[in-house]
Amino acid sequence: MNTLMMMKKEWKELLSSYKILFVPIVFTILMMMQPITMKMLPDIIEGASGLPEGTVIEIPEPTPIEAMSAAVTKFSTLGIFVLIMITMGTIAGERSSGVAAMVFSKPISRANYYFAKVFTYFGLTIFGILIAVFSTAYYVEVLFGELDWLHVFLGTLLYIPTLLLVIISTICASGVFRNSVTAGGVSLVFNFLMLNLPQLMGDFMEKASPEGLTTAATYMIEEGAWHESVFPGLAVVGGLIILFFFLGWYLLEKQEI
Amino acid sequence: MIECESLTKKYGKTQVLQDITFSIDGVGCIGFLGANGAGKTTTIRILTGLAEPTSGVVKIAGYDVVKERNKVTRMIGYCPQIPSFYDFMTGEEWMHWAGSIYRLDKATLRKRTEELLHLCGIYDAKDRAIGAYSGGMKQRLAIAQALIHEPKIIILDEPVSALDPMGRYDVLQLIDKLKKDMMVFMSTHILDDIERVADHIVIIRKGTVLLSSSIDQLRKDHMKPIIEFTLEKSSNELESVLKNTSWVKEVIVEGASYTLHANDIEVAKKELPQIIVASGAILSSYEVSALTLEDVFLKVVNES
Repeated sequence: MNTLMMMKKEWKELLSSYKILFVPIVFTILMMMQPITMKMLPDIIEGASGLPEGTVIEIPEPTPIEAMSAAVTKFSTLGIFVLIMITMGTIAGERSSGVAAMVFSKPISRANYYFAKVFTYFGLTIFGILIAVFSTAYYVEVLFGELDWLHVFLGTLLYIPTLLLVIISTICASGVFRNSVTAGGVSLVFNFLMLNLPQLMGDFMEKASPEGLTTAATYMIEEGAWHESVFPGLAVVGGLIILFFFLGWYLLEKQEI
Repeated sequence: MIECESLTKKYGKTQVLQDITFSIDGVGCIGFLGANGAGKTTTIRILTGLAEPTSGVVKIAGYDVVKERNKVTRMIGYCPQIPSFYDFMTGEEWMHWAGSIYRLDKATLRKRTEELLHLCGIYDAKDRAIGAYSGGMKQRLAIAQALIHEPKIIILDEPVSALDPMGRYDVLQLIDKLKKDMMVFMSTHILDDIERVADHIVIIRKGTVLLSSSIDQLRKDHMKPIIEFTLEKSSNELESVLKNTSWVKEVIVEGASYTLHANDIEVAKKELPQIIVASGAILSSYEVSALTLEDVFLKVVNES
């Protein structure tokens, strides 16, 4: 019951801080930049000075599917950075400001508090990414032609766990460190390693990683089929989400406020 | 209502609380006294369930603060030294949010919020975002919200340390009102405030309880009246006469200044002037006074 009271407060905060608005907007801008750039690229090159007279550069126009899958792929780096930025202070900031002490002197358990944070930020991320994907898909249709919306939707569903992993690992760090910047830094390093290290560790590890799941998401958008990295990717990312969920909860229970 | 038994707290190798043992019951104001770093805030953090003791038992209204935290938090209201809030909320919204955690129904919530914001003098600011409140207003809101569920005990950690003289006066007046119906457990190092509102004091130093006593008992035990007088010239004869007088407990002589502790102040007030005159000494000042709480505090701390 008090988890709901905390969630009410979290959503009110999202509204008053306009996170509920700017997260989908930022996600949408980040995602749309790629197809727009792809569309404008020939004009940009043509307008660029310094090319010898008579130079002909032919850039084939990407298909709608290619434009959409490139949008999802290119979103990762900056999108993850934005997610870490909005989540890193969620517990650390409240502990260092002292407001957590006001909250925990009331009949609110660490579990109530933690669950409310996790579910709210999961909700915000899913809401933001769905808005971003569907707005981008609409623009891709306008700029390049028709898309298969079901495949776009399924591809987005496959991409969401990677974002949730970023959220839960950042909330976990935010519960451990009192300083928001430290929490964000730790999460940034962890997520950077998670996204890049498995690629250097052989074929299987590449599939069984967030990167593998992103590949599966773009494959679904492009081909409308399940990529072989879906299941190992889902298992590992899902497992990590569950691991960080319980680890964050356990560590918060152990922390003094 | 508050029982602390052999409470200790260690942070790494630092022993913050060594042996906090005291027991207090009933309504009234409990002054929890100690110098900066004595362990007041750590004790309060344990009482409120924000920190766990390294060893020892703390019970509030019979409930163990570690094992029965949920029940304890319903018994207490807490106001930290520097209260922090969700600044995006208005004062009224925070009160409603705090009350809903205690499952107060809407009608009760509205009624209690209005009453308490009036009582704490911030009703006019109820619709303002807390981020725009001054330090004094936040302190008042912290007290108001701590009372929303009608707790049996309100724990105030240095509630007036950040306030201006007017704010301090108002909060002490408020404490004076509250202590009639509940236990107000208030930590401070400002002895004047304690002297004004406390009915019982607990003095701690370096994480150990030095004294736990009702103010009445303290007055009886420590705050004995004294007579201070100064002569134009010191008199050895007078000093030896006083030391051999039955009602004189102690005479402290510093040059021509005398501080006399009497066993019976009424006899002393009657006989001392006559003794001084008889010794031929000439008085330049004479005052009957009492040990203040500050004197007692210094005495207890220095004796430990």
